Amino acid sequence: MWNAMRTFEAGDFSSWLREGNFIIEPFATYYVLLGFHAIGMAVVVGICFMLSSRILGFQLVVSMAAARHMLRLAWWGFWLNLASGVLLILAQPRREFMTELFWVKMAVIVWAVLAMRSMGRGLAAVRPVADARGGVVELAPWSLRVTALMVDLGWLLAIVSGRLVGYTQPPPPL
Amino acid sequence: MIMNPAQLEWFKQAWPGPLVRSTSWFFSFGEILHFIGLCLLLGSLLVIDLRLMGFFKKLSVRSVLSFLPYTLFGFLLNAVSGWIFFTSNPASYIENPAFLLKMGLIALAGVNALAFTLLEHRRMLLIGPGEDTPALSKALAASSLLLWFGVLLLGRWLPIFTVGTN
Repeated sequence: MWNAMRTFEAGDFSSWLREGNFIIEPFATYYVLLGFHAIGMAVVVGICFMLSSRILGFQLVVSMAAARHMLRLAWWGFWLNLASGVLLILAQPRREFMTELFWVKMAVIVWAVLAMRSMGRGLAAVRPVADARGGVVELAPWSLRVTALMVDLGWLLAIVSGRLVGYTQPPPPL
Repeated sequence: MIMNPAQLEWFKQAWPGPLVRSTSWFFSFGEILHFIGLCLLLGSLLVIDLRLMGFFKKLSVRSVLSFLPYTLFGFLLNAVSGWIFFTSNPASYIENPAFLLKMGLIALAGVNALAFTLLEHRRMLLIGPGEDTPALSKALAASSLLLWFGVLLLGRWLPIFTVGTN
């Protein structure tokens, strides 16, 4: 497996991801991918923060139907993050796999994604109830509020571990 | 050169520059703050600007504008953490064309936000669910998203244009 990865890293595709240019100089492919990775992160994490705020009761004027639309946008951010993340790993798989914090980051991402799926199911189950002033309000149950906090915590830990990966990586293996 | 050596030295000695240079953790702490800030800033702006552009029409504009405090808090976090980075090595930033362009785009985004506040904000509060927004609001919202995503990309691309200065 290790030897297969070494051979892959020496190949044209991995070398291009790691050291090549994206269409024109000086736009290094690796940094272009990092840019897309940051956009994906901003979309998925940012939208999840806004959704959690709504679920926790801060933006009650936002309907749950609209919140579900927002969650769909968050998933687009996640897919962009996943695609760019896989390519970033393929640029130097052995170095990534040797970094302990990389595995921590993967674990908390799985946690955040599972919590996001659970949040989506929870959003669909919220029903409007009458409020004291004769109107209707969509209040999230406690289980959904806890799930929203789990989503936020998962993404926060992913950001922290992702930032620290760069500082704890070993030198590129021979 | 935009700044003379004396000005650069002043920024270099300003808090927390010496602390960032003497510790191994402060810069990465700043990066974590910067990323959280940009998620809050762009996450809230996405919801607001997409509604102004005609998406999420089930929402009133007033309801999406309730996310604005997150935009401001995210910007504040980014400004504070950006100051941490800048004081760590002002010369390398000031000589980096991507950094200068990034600052230019932030200034333009500020002008764009001011234009929205002065020209459209009050009118937008009356736009209810299902209603469309005027063309000027759509244009200002689209340019806001373009400018902020440009800021994000330039931030990630700073190392491409870094000149080796200490």
